[in-house]
Amino acid sequence: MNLRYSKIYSIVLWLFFSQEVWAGQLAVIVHPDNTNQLSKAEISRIYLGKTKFFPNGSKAEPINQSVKSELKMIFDKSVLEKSASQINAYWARLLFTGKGKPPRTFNSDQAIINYVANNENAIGYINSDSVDLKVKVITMFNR
Amino acid sequence: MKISSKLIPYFFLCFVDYSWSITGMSEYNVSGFASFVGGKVISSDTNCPLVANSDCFVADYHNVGIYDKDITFSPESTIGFQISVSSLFIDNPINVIVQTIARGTEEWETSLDWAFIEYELSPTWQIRFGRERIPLGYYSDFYEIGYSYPWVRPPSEVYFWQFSKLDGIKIIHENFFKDWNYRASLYFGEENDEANKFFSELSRFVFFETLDYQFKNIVGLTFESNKNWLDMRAAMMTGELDITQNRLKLGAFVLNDTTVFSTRDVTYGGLSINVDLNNFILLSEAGRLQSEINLRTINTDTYMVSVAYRWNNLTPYILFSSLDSIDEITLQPDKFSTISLGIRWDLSYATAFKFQIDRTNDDSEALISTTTVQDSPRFGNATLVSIGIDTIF
Repeated sequence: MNLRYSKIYSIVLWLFFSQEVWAGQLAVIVHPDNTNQLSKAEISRIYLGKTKFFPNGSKAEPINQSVKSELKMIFDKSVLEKSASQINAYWARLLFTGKGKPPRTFNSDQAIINYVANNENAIGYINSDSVDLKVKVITMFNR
Repeated sequence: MKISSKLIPYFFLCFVDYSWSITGMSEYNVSGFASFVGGKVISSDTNCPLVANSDCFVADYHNVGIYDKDITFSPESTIGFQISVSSLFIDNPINVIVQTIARGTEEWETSLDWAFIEYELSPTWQIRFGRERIPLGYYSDFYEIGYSYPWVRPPSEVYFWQFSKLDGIKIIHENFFKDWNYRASLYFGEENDEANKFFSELSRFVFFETLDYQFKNIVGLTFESNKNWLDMRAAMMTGELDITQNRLKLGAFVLNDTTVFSTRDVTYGGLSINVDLNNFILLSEAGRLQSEINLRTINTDTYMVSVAYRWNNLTPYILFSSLDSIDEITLQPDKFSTISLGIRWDLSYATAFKFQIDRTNDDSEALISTTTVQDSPRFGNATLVSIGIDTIF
């Protein structure tokens, strides 16, 4: 794709994402080369460390928003369907028995986009307003 | 101050830059947990064999966490630190975990509770070498992580077994099938701990002897499976317990210092079923420990049932637990049960406050013998009030 087309493409996408309907939603993002389709249950399994793989067998590395972020609260509630303290208690059991470790966290949408854009195995979630072309949105959740 | 000076080395952990490593290809993480618990026995009908002229409540057999008439904070307060190291070489996946725990019962001396190297044979198979817990009960592995369960402590009736450190090898397989995750492990090893504290204290007080225990030839299996709201676990274990009794030359019973050796064959089987419907929680566990010494069998049956309800930041709960142990030859029963009422209050994402009242009924038949040590003489009926704060960091 030459530069001009990609620019047009991004303008179209920008228009698309700036629509009222997408505004202020939670977007789950992966690397552009990641072709997996994920259900809510599958995203939840990856974020709870119950599987370390995407459905196509490639390794999955979940990335979390920081504990203080409002988006994490929304993700915990609507995707994982648990409270923050339930999730922390869950991870404490795994971490202190060597069974697993909680997802790596980043402090901003931009940091998550940068990480996901550079790591084929990564999966993250951000404000839909922050989405850019470096990453691919696989699903959206209402806030 | 004594306490803080022992913890000083750990404060330096906070200032180390963990981004470096020898190979430049490892990831370091430091994390930890702490519980500060205070308690007081408010009523009791018997003087305790372990605390001179006082009531008592045994909250933790393994670490000899015993409350008495005074408000005390040492029986169950703990602080633990863990360093986890993961190799980032994709074709050489190795994890190292080191966990030390300082306990109020040990005057905040630290002990090395976990230290193992895990090699990932494949994405679903791992092998561990080193020290970890003997995974007898559901809560054995994370007994000290108060933040991870509703109560102040897992019930001592079910967690009465005094051996916990496994030095050995563990093979782990984990995978999932449809909605179900499962994890199976097979382990071999021995407990290489110091003289068993609880039995030693008890026999020193009651029988004027010291005891050395070695728990060896341990072989065990665990199988756990869970889906969203249901969590089940089964465990089995066998092992040999070598006991060395060193009787002291004291009083009329023993004329000279003598040493007596004996071996017990120990077998354990247990089952746990837990339901978590987000608001409503049911936690249950049952087990049998069989101890055989020269064809004489002692069966100890334990179980617990707990119901809790999560209501925003508050989780009130009720817990019932029971231990029933019988020696097939002497027919002396050790029989006690505890009913506990309490509430957990989540103060933040990582800190919870707890308040709990326990009432233990001891229906054991007290028997003082000069030749054999009873696993638990009568401690008496007792009511304990405890408060605690649990955190993870």
